[in-house]
Amino acid sequence: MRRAPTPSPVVIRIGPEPRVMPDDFLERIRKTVGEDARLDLEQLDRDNDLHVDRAAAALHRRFLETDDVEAWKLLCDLTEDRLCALAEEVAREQGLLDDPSELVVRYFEELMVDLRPAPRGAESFLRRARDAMRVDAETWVRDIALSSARDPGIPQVWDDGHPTPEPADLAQRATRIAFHRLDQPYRRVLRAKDVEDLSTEQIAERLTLTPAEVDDLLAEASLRLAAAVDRELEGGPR
Amino acid sequence: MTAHELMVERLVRAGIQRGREELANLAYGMARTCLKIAEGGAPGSFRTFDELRGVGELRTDLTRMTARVGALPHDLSTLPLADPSPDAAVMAADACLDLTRSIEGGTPRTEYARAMLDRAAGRPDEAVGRLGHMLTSPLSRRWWMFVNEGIQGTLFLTGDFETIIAIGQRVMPHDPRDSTSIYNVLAAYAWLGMRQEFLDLAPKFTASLIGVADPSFWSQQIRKEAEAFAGPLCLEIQDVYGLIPATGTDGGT
Repeated sequence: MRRAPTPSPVVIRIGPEPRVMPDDFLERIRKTVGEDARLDLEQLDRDNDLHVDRAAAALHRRFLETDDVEAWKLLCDLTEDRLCALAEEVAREQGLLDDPSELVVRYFEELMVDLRPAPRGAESFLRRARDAMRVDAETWVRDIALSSARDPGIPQVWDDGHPTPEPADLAQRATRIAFHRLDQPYRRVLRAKDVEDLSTEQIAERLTLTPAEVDDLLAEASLRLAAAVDRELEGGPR
Repeated sequence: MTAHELMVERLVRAGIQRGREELANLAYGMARTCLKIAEGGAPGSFRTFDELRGVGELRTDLTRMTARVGALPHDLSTLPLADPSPDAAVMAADACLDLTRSIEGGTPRTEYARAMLDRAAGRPDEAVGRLGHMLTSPLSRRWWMFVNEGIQGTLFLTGDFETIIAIGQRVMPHDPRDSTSIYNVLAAYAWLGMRQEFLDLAPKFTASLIGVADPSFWSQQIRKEAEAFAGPLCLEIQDVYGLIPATGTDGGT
């Protein structure tokens, strides 16, 4: 069962140069949401979180109140790049190896099937999305860590104990699972090094560590990962 | 297309697909609720009212999800969802299962539900046939056990106790803790008057109850059947499977 996301401080991003949306896009939003006193924007700067939040909240409310799928589609268009950036931050923070854009896909899927009443008050759409993606990422990491590389995920006819064939990509599955079983600090540094291709100095700056501490962390993380992969391939205890 | 446009397209496609899956879930839930109404609970009983309320809520959710993902191939607005009679419930369940199947295809859950619908509509042979056909396709272990239990339960309606025993003996070695399957075989032994086989299997049933949340109910059931192999046994079976025992088939020795 998912726990309720813990609200986190809002980090407002306002770009150095405004990236103003074409007038017809804002007009489409106005037409879709109708008379909404909270949507009092003269222009829509896609790089200004305050603008994006206000328009997104109006579209979200419209969707929940009237099931207008056009409002939902406009919401996708308006918030996609910002949510992808937030998803990347979440993946980095959680040490999630898989594609962070999948967090955004899952978030919009949940919005589509959400039949609850529209939220009251001026809750930030972007913050709510980021908190939900953070919880989803934690759950995702845990689910991967609890899975087994030998589980084919395909139903087999129960035919008197015939052995289940091993998946062809067993080593790759084992590595992915073993990675997500590591503690978060190790996942973070390995991801920063191997996925984002950051230097030791860059990682140190991000994590507020010295380069020597980062090197130690990476060495320890590599050893633990190798041991965890071996254990998973042997099918032994976690 | 730009990367942004591609991503938006991906989001829309995934969201609509998820919406359709949820529509299938809601329709399936509606079918199961209607099936419960069709299977039992007299009109006016608490159970029926509770399920009718469930039907009302599901109808609202179905209507909203339809608005989000598009038109349905089946018009649910004409269904007699407020009619608590078994016939109306069967019709409603049938339409809802059609809707679910139209979205997700012939999955184990839709096929199993349709077999139970056949049973509720007084077509046990079709139910057994449909369940038997399910066993020819790959099934998870959970569904394999479920389908076999469904076959055994349905065969009680036709009185085919020998087949129940044959199926039960095939299932039991794979899951010795499957209390339902063992119980079905025990009941079949009782119906056929196979006293010694009954007494030999009864301890296995008791052992299978270890760890069950409320074993006392089942223990009492099986103790009754072991001690009084005649009239009371038939009453137990009637209670469990809704059967009326045929004259003279009391299983006594």
